[in-house]
Amino acid sequence: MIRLGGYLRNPVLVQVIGICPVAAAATSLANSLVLSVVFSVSLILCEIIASLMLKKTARWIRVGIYTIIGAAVVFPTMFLLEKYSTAVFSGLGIYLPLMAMSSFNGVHCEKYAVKHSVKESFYDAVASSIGYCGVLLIVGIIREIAGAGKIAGFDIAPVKGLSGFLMPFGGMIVIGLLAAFHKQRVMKTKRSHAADIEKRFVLDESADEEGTFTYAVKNRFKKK
Amino acid sequence: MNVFFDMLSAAVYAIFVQNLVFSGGYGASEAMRMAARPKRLASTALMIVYFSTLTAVICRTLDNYDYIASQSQSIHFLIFTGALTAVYFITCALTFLILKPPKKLMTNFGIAALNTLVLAIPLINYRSSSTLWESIGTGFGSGIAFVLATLLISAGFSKLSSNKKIPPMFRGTPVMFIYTALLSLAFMGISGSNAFA
Repeated sequence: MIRLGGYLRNPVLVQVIGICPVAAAATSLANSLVLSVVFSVSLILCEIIASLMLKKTARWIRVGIYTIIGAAVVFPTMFLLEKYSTAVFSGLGIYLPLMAMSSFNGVHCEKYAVKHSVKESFYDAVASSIGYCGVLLIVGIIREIAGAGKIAGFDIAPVKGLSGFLMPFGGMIVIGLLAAFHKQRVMKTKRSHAADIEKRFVLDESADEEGTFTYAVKNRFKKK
Repeated sequence: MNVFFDMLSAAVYAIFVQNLVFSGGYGASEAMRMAARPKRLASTALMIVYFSTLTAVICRTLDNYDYIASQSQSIHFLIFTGALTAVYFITCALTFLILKPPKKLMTNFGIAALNTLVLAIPLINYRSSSTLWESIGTGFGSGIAFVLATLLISAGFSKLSSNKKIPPMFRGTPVMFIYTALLSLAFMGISGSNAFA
């Protein structure tokens, strides 16, 4: 399950969910670590609560509740960072509170948690967290080295680095290159999944990608 | 007249100079996924305009109270998130009770309201100390910025998906990211930022 949810169907590189924090805020290892912890705790809590209590709740209410759960994790972290680690707090800017609104929780809870048991939902949350946080950390490390010539705040390169890597377009380029590398690896081992990565973005309504709200709703109607 | 120009300049700034999707990555995943099925773009964009403008106005109004204005950044962010969630719940509840809409519309509400782009508007307005009218302009502009971003990504991707010269490992999602990055770089050029200082 971890291989499927975290690697083969990686949330960022394949499913294209939760791009904003990775592209914009993952500019250093410290930022990526904070975002990873917040993301993982928030997703695991959301999926457990959705699977445990929200299966019979109306969908539009559930989606709002995911945001409240996300905020319940994000804001205590923000208060702590504002008080004890101002550098990380200002480095993350408005991207940390935006984690509360990440579409990721909604997509995964609607796609998986409300249709499965607590145990299965927990494993799904862990697998997705590993996949998402892995990309967050790799992107953070690459951008800190290429953009600032540092790693974990320590100078490692004789040159200053290209500041463009610290900007959202630099993040997108790094994600794009990682996605290509990931696809090449998948093509070598699992060809069917590689074809799925290509299908994900075609201008065809029938190829409405799995992992979106639309997909979750369609599936529910089909079951009825 | 000044009020109108305040709103207009804030909207134009949000759309072209600082297109929030490209310059900050706000709502980037929604825009990229929407680009693959642009049929729902108009309705989603309208909802984004509604939610972002209304939330921006409410948050700016709340900030006029001395008690709230004197709070720390974290408290402000918490209040703004609460305001957006409340707007979402009230809108959904009223629509559900009065119009009895199809489930698809209610689904769209969730996609349009609860994303990073809509919450980013009041946070940016707060940080840049925008006036009420500028907040309205930014809220309105963000919806149009989303449409512009989605159309640009969609148009480029329709060409890229039929291009057989792209190496297999870059086809699909990877090329989508690279293309979006180039658009983001282009918008940085409009804003006059120096990308490689």
